[in-house]
Amino acid sequence: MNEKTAPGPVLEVTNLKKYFPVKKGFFQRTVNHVKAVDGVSFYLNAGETLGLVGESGCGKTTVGRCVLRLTNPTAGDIVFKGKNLAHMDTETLRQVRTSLQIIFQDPFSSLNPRMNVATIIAEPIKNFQRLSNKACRGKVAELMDRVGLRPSQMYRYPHEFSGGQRQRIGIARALASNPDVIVCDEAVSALDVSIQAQIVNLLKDLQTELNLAYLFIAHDLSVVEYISRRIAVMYLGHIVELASSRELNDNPLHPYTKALLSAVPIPDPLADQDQEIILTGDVPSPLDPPEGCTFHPRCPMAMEKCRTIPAYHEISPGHWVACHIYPTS
Amino acid sequence: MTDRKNVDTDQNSGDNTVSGSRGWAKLKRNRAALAGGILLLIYLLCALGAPVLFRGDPSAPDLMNSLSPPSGAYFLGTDELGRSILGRILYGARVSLLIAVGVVGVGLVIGVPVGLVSGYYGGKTDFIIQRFTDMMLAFPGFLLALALVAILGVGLKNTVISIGISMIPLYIRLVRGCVLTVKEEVYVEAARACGTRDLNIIRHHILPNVLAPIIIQTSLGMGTAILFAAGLGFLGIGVQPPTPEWGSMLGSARAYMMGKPHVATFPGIAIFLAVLSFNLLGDGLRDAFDPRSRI
Repeated sequence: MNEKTAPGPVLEVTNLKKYFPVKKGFFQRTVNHVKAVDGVSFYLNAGETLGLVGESGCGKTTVGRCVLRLTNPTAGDIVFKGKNLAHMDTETLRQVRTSLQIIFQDPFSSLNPRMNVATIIAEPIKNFQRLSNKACRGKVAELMDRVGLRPSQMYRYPHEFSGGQRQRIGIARALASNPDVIVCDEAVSALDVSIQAQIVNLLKDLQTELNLAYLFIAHDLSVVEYISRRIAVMYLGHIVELASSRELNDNPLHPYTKALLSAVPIPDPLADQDQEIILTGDVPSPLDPPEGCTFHPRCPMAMEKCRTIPAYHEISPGHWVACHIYPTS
Repeated sequence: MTDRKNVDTDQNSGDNTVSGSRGWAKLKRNRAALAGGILLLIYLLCALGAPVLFRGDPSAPDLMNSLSPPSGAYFLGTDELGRSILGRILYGARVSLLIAVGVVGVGLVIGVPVGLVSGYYGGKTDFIIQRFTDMMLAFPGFLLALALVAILGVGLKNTVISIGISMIPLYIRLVRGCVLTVKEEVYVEAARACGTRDLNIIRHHILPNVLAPIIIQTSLGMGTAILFAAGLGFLGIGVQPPTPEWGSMLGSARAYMMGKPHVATFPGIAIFLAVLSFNLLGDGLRDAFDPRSRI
């Protein structure tokens, strides 16, 4: 699919942690931490897509925001093209943002209602290049054309567009600064299914044309499987399993991945539905996560050993898992 | 009906701003606001056309005709020094509108940027600015203006400065509050993600989206400014005679209230209508443009 990858990761995240302090009382003392992301590591090769799935509140969006330093990580390293973003000063970081972009979930709130489309798309261009208005307009028209919008509509305002068109505007804005990596934070979740397909295909086309790498964050496993080459499954701030898309689908190891996969509806009435694994209970509060493996209170295969933290290790080439069922050899 | 439907679809789409044209349409249908606007226009015309509408010097005394009731020669009568009350009210409109604009100008020029910085940067900057505002808000507005006049001295310029300063904390609070909501918007984060500098984020993303409440407060603030200025004038520490000013006219007419009520009545009506018109317009603007009132 996206085989023409350059050697070496363009983005490498190591042991990323983000704790949000919980403050209480008159003096706003920190009484506890919400461990939104707790030791996440992955890498992203140039031109490939890494899917990041998990249910609401598992910290996948926080990972995306940390990667872009929209929020400061508590600990960990984010190495982008050989430079560590985690401890970068504001101005250097600003420069890096030409090549690291984001597409947001909600196409309604991510566009300033008081700016017209031309201004929105031109914003990243104007931040980094000195262009005449005419040249800038030309570039905007080219970008709009590329994402499937009519350039003649560039002086319209966001509220005049539909959800799918607005998301295309968001994509055009992300493309404007010629990025290498785009974080797609639930980029299609807010759209209708038919529009989702259009946008996902647009993203795939752009990837082949421009050799983009995506960190594709979503909760819909079927969409992620379609677009991603490799998939990371997150649960309560940890990556529990990471494998290539095909491997994860054919040979899921972690009980949570198995449950997630079994929940994906199969569009075939004759298909065997018996193997559906229904998880009991709710996701524990990240304020007070369970000891050891955070999944063990809901895990159908939990053992005594699961009260200790499982190691995140490579079980076969490119297939990583954090579960006691698969011992480290 | 159709308009109602538009509003609904708008809310469904999660868009919480009123587009300009619909706001104006709403404003035009609001009769009270329209009346306020027209009244204000009349005041403005009076202020600008005072030399045409009233020939002669509004400050020249004519003791032969002092305290004369309304008549053909003196449309609204004369005051204790025989000066035409009509003339003084017309010229007084100039002073009052000047004060209103000046005061709100001081409030805006200092209050808005400070509020923007306080709200956007948060943290220690915000804390220090907010404690300072708390301090200023601890005094009732008029008392603060009074105290500042005591320090600065009387006169038109000092009246504007003192009332203006007393209004700064209101603008800081208002702007900061709005910024706190707007800066959490995803499009602000998007701007940061695409490398826009803080100053440009504030200028292009935050300020345009907090403008509506600022405009509303400007209109209401002008009404308050006129009232405060009249209050200072009444106490004799505002704009000094012989400059015609409504408050000081009222102050000096106080002595003749029983025998010659017209001397106090007409400037009183002038103040009342001016403040009313600003408030009506301000309320109308709020109803038309403030998203929070559209429920």
